[in-house]
Amino acid sequence: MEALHRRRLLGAAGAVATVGLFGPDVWAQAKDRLVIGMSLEPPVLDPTKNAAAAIRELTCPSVYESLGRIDRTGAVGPGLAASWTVSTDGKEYTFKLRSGVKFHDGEALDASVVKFSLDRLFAPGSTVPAKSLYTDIGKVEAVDSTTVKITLKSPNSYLLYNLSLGDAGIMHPKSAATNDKHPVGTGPFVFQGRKEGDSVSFAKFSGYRDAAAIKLNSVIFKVVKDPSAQVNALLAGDVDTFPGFQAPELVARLRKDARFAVVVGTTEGEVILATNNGKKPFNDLKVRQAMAHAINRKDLIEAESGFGTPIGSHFPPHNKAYIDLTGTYPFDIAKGKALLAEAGYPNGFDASLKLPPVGYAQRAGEVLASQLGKIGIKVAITQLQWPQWLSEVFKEHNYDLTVVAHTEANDLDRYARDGYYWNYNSPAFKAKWREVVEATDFARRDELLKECQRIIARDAVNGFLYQLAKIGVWKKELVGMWENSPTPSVDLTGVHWKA
Amino acid sequence: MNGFGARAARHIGFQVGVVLLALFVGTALLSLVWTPYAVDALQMRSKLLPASAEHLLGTDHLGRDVLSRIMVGARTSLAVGLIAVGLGMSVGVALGAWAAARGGWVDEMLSRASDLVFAFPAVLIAILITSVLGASAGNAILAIAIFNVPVFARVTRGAALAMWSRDFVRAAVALGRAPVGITLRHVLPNIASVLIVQATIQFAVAILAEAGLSYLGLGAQPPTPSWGGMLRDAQTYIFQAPELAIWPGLAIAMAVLGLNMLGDGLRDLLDPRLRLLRVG
Amino acid sequence: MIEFLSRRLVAALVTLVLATVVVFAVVEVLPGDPALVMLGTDARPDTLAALRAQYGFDQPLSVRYFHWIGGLLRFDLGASHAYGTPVAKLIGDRLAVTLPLAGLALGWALLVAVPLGVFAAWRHGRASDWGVRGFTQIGISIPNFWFGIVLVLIFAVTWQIFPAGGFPGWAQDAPRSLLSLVLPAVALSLSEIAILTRVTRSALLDTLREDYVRTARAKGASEGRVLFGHALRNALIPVTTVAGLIAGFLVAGAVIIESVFRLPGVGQLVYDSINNRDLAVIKNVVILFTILVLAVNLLVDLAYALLDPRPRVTA
Repeated sequence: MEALHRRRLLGAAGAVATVGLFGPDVWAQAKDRLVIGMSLEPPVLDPTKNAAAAIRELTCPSVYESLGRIDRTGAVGPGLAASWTVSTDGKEYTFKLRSGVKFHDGEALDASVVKFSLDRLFAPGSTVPAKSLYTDIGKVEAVDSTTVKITLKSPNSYLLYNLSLGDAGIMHPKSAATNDKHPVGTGPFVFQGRKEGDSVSFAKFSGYRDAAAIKLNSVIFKVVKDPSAQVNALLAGDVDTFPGFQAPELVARLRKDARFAVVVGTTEGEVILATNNGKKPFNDLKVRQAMAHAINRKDLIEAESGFGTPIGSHFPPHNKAYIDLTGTYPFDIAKGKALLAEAGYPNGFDASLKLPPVGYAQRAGEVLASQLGKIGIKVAITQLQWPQWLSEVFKEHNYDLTVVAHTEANDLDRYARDGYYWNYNSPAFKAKWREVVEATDFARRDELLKECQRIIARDAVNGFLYQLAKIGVWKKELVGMWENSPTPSVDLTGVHWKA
Repeated sequence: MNGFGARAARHIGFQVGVVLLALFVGTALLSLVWTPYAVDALQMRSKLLPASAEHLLGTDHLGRDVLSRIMVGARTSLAVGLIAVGLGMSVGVALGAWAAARGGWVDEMLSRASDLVFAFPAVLIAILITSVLGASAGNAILAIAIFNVPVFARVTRGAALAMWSRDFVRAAVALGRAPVGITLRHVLPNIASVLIVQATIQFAVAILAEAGLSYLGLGAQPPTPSWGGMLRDAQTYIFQAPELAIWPGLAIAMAVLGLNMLGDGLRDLLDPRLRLLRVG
Repeated sequence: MIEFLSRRLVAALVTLVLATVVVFAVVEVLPGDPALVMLGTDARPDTLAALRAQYGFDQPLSVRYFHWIGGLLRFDLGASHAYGTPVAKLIGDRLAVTLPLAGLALGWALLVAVPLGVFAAWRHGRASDWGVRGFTQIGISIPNFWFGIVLVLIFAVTWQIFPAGGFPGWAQDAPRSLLSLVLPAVALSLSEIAILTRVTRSALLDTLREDYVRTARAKGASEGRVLFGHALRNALIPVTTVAGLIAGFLVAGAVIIESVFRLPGVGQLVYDSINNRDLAVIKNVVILFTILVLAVNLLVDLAYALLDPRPRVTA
């Protein structure tokens, strides 16, 4: 009786499963609906209220647009501003706005709205997470209804780029306060609703200035945190794409499936073994050099199932100012041991490695512990939650080593910051970085950037490991997804299903 | 105790329990002196190998020998379980005996406190505790120990109260002996069998709890192997190397089964009328 | 009886008040700054300070404690720091996963355990009884999250009958949502089956020894009538009690199973909130669970007081 009972139950379950598999075939029926899988959930939906990258991925530029727009190559082009001019001293920017731009709630865009939005970024009491990017701005003026003039306190060659980031998305005074829960912008998609912990949905904005170019009518971002669940969601057809697939070890499984395209592109994320330069023995250049010699990037990338490009400094290999510095301190255990002995640690020492809760850090952490062990550094690993990592490592500098990816573009400036968590302090680098920021000629800036890369590589500030790869997975019929990730954004303006 | 050996010889459950426990403890001890490979020897070129003569249970995602890691994992489980139950038992027995001896407000206060601990969702509180103190084997021990305290306190209090009403204890009271002396001389020795049985069961519960916490990444930290942590890693590779998810779980189940059978067996042999608390 | 119940009620309330203090204290000492979590690595000290003031993190502990308690008394759980949405809505959404999961697990456990327990009691002392008892021993020894992984291996990876994890959402795809609760419910029910089988078996054996059952037997009632007509009905009292206790545990204790199957349930909500330092969510959910457990315990006491005529001995 028991056996019969069990068989009947399995049979029933099988029948339900069959319905599930051959029932609703989402993409075959609805060619204008897209379900996008995300590994991280945006907390609020306003990039001026929270630093989470997921907010920018969902809402910029789909909801909020900025004056400039970062394209798929990372270059800045016109956004809400149709054009602009820069004064020769690099301190005055004049933007000409597009006309006829409307917000989702029907409000019109004009210079006063832009001034309101930009003033919020650097105002004294402002709580905008990226405030430090905009503090060079002296004042913003609405010259006439379509002209905005920005005057800087000192020249900043990254200003245009920064004004094109999602952080500087233009919001209307009427909706700014409630954008965290109900985002309203000028972008091609209108917020429909969200279920916390599950999904956020958008519909096409019929009043978009170029509405005919937008092919998708309905876009749903679905949060699937766990890598194996992401694979399941793709295989089951719950999601059409994961623009940023987080589990390199599972890519082989997806490549076996003819329905999907797996596209490997670049990110701005440098994975580093961040080192507390302010703490003994890591304040000794010889110790840091020894560690650099102990690092075997090939094995580290192997632990990522082969995804990632080795780096020898803190700079992305796809950038045209990149120089290959991986040979500065090549993998050489004997040399590493010798340098440690020279520094006064012939028997090595103990060190803490505090890891944030992300897959790549966990994997790299165990490999690095083993590699550093070979030159005598005994590494004790602690896994931290993000809030702990932020407080303990980042804010209080209470750590020896940590592994983390720095995913912001143009983030070399961190090596010039005082009191940053690495405690690196190099007057030479600071001077060079000042030149970079104030450069008005971009070719000259590239040369300066190369010199910056060399300085930190020579100083072995951190262990420079590899550049994270962007693994995009989508149904083969989906066209126009970005291959690379130059900025945190899922830009859907050119995306459509093959007819 | 004369009949104990003879009765134990007929109690199959008890014997199975002893064998499984011996296997568990033996593996843990053996791992101190010998494992087939070093547990932290990474070998990226031989990752995710299936079982073979070289690696009896295959290798994990970093090319480490799974058998070696299971062996050392036994040590982690044993240590965490023993210390957590030991701690919880010491405090719980002391509090329970105190409550039984003093009665009144002490008893009332302690029973409110134990209600409080029992009312909390154990897993969530354990996660909170390890979040407050940081993820480590030591803090996992603490989190598990806290939930053992009221278990032992209740069992001790109940059994001790019964003792206090027995004639020989009343006689001691009449002779003017101090409550502490009576507790140590008369009460505790007579309730030892209850405590031993309860401790065995709690040990099993503690091993399950440790596995759960380290599955969530809140137990022993890598590269120290723990069975729960191995399961956590294995789940990521479930499509490529499903057998990785089998061995650690089997190890946990066998260790816990051994202790449960031993506990039930001991109860049958020592005092079949014992009432045990099962929590978690 | 009234006196006994009011004493239990007062004790439960005292426990609840203590619980709020403990939960508040633990949540307050969680390391990590919620403002830093929100504003990230580029935040400046002045923006962090402004945000802390905005959320009231800079107020004295006592003010914040009573603010929270005041809210609880008005059934106002406040808003989540991370999402900005009301905590009550967040919990409601997640209960839509956790309650069906717990219900399925309990239903399945009863469906298996009661017949199995009856069977074992019927075959008391024989090989099949030993078999059932061995099964229950194994059932309480297997970690349920590992059992979950094994189920995934068999039914999702190898046979691909059930989804390996995740939850499509009731609104999107109800049949498949139900299907994705099946394996977790089965995994969650294993140890409960073992416990309920034991309880059914021993309760049945206890009642079989009672006088009225002996009388029925002596009168010549068939063994089947004795078992199902007389003994089982009385044995169901302890079974129901234990099932009630288990129900409370299933709702609060499913965190790890929800994590294995990546289900967006209440347990995951707390787990994520701990990781995001969403303090408002953590303390309210933990207190709601505590209230649930205390309420179940009170109900069990009440049931005993009503059903069991013998005088109550407090544990």
